[in-house]
Amino acid sequence: MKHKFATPAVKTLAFMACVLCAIVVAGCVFGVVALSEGGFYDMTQAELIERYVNEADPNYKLVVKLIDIGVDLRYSIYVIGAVAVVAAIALFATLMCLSGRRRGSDGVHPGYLNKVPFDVLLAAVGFGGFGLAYMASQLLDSSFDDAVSIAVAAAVCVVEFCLALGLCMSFAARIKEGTLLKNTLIAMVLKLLWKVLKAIARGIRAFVRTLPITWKALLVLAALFVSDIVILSGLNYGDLQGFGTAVLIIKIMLGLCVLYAAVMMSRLRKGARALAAGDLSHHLDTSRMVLDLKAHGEDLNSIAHGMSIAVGEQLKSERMKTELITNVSHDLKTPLTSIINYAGLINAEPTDNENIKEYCGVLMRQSERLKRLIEDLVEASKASAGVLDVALMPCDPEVFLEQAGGEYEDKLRGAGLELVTKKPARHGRIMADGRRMWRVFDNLMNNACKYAQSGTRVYMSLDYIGKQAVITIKNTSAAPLDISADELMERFVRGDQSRSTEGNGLGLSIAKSMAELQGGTLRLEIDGDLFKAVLSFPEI
Amino acid sequence: MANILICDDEKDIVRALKIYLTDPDYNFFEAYNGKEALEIVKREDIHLILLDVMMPVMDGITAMEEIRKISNAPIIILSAKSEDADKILGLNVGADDYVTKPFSPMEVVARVRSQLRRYMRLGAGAPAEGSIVVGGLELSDATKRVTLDGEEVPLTPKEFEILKLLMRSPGKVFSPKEIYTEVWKETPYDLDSNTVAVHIRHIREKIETDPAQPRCLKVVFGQGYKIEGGRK
Repeated sequence: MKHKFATPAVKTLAFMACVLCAIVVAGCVFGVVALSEGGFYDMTQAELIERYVNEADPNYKLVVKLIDIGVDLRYSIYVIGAVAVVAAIALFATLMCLSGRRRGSDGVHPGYLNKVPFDVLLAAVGFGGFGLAYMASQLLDSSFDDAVSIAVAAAVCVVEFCLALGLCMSFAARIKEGTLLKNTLIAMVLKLLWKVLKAIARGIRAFVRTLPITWKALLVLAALFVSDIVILSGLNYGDLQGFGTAVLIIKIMLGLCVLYAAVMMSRLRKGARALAAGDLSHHLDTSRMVLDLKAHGEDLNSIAHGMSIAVGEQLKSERMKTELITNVSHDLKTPLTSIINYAGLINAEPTDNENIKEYCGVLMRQSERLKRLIEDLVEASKASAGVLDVALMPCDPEVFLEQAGGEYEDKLRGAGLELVTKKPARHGRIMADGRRMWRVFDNLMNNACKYAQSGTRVYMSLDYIGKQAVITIKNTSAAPLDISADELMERFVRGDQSRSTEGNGLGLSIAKSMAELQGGTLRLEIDGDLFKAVLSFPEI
Repeated sequence: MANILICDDEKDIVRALKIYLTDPDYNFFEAYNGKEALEIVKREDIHLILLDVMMPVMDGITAMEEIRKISNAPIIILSAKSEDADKILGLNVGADDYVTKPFSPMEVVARVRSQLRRYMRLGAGAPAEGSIVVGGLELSDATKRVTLDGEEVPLTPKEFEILKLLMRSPGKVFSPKEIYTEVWKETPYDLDSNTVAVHIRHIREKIETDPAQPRCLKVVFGQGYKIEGGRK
């Protein structure tokens, strides 16, 4: 809506018209009062003339004329007054609507008057009016008998009315703009005060925050001490009741503080415990904490955040490594399949040439070895990356020994070794994944077959030591073991430096990773030629 | 006469398999991707399929899904993918056996024979009265004979008793001690001997194509042994 008529000229005109109407209304009111005082509504024209006209008076003709006018106007003055009232109200409303508007624009355009804080304006108009009225009354006789005083009083009234009208317009414009309360001196002062208070609070907070927690605690204790002194000194005046109330209030406040600290502490502890348990997604809500509690909570959150990033990165790189190895092994397996197949075919061809048979045997043996190496490599990388799934179930350690013994008895005998199994009378159980555990035993027993001195015994025993089930596999090495147990556990390290026999040095590393995946440990001990592998799993 | 379809994108492997499987009773078809294999299965009466997984145009799994809509012939997957998940996927989609590359040729030959025997024998007559059948194994208590896909397996009396015990409850895991008490009855259980485990391994060597990866008589390490029927 464009305000078509909101021009300064229209506004001025309306303003003046409004003032005029108001003057007319006031005039009518005074007129009616004067007429009724003069008895114009009780008497006829003749009676009025008889009462007021003295023919001796040289101005009597004027009086007659005035009486004539009074009689003519005595009823129509009501009509004039009513019309003026309606006009004044209409003009007032128009002014209110126009105030703050400008032709051809939608928004509110407050005038210069509206820049002044409203309460200041109000006070100015109020005091100005009073001042004017006071001055007028001081200057003039207060009886209002003579025409000059009346004229001055009327003028003062008009001026005051104009001021009031202006104030109303400003009021309307401010309401439209929504700045009525904002643009007041009181609001400004309050705002300033609030700002100052906030700055002070911030300063105190910043200061307290830099203090170590011990100093904060001391500060609080000192405040408590001072309050106690104050209360105790109050006791001297014998106001027991006031003393009790004060102590109660302080105790309640103190209790609330302790309660708050306790709740927040427990929340912090819960968060820290979740972190310790590896739940890095746990988020500590620090919005209700203060000071050191909050700082600590935020520290915990950032630890969780940092750690989850690091863990994610590590997992990703491990997964990528494993994926790479899996893919490479796929690509290696296909040509290897052909090599194994055709080596077998050559071997099956009838030939008298002993050399070809021998060479073909080497081909077949070495391709089989390559096959195992590829499989072990994939498994070792997966086991150490922890991407193998482990399904733990309660298992009998003695059954492991019996089954492993059964599987390997013949093979050991073939290698000239005797297997001796020792199991305790006591029965225990451990948590293990049969498939993964088989890899551990398979690798350890295979090692015994490969590296033990022919004609010796291989010992496999089970003991319960404390809350651990300990499985030991012992054999006498054929080659001297001039290598440390730790080195043996490394990937691609073998007891015999010649590297001529089968094996790839991954077996022990895989066995160790597999044992650890199931929550157990694999330890190697070397004592001269005695090789000892110790598996231990917690009993359930 | 059996029609065997060999499908692998490596021509060398197809050729080697053909040479190993050479038999006057076998007739071979060759395909170098899943699509070709599917077309041959549609056209010919195929009795057994050897199928690679990673192949161009159409991979083995997709081809197998299509083949299973029209044929019930045994499918043996030959794949370089050796993850458990790959095996499970292959077997679930409809494979009868899964051999990982690099395979030993003789093992593939043995598996082909076993699958063919079972497929050709299917519906050849109900098992004899009083005999237990689990997968390709049939055990007759009356004649004390065990046959695997129709071929007799020579077993010692103890081995027979162990197999009978396991086959009576297929899928149930028997601990070595349980087996010992059932089979050896009077003789007390010797804690430090591995008698049962040794017997089980001997049985496995007789009835399994690859005793290190048994399909039928399974080792549940740390618990015991069980017989599984396998897939129909």
